Amino acid sequence: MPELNWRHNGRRIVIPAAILRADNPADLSYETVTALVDTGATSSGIMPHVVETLALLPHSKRLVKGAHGEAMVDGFVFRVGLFADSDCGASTTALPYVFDAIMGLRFSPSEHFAAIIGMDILSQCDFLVARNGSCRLTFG
Amino acid sequence: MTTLRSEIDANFDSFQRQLQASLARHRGEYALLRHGEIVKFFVDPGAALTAGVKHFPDGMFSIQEVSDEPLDLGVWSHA
Repeated sequence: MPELNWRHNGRRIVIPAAILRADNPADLSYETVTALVDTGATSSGIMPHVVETLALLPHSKRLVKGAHGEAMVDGFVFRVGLFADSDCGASTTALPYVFDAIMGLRFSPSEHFAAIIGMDILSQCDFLVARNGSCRLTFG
Repeated sequence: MTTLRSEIDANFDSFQRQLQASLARHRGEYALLRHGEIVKFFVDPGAALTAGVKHFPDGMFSIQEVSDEPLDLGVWSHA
């Protein structure tokens, strides 16, 4: 199975990921992003500039729960891809492993990452975080 | 002229009125909607999107997950 091994920086767990449109399953063009691994997020999400780059349209309204109460937000259907290890870490020049389409969200911008990998994707993976900072994500 | 936004809003309102009935048989599935009507249920959102694009080239459709639970935003809950 493909896997990704890396070390976190002690502040957040981020990995390279690919975001793909979902309206044509044969279209494997993608946008490479830095993604936060967030086990507390029910759904994955992308930042506004990724929505614009891929020209995604909203296709849903979703009720979300946050620290400030509940709110309605737009839902977007897209695909997430992960890059398996090469000899020198994640190989973002190789084709990613692409998961089935998900109904994700558009999050407000962050300076640290452009996507959030939530439990809709993580539940399809084996995820290991060790106390020495090493991480492993196995998928496929 | 109907916009995608108004189509999504109208479909959502209609979907919410039918949600309890849909939950019994389709919880966790995805409903493809057009003009306030549920067209079909799909097991994943990608299949619903592909069907919507194929059958409704004007793009006037929406997709709703059959669920009565709000999503949790995780780290972004505090943004």
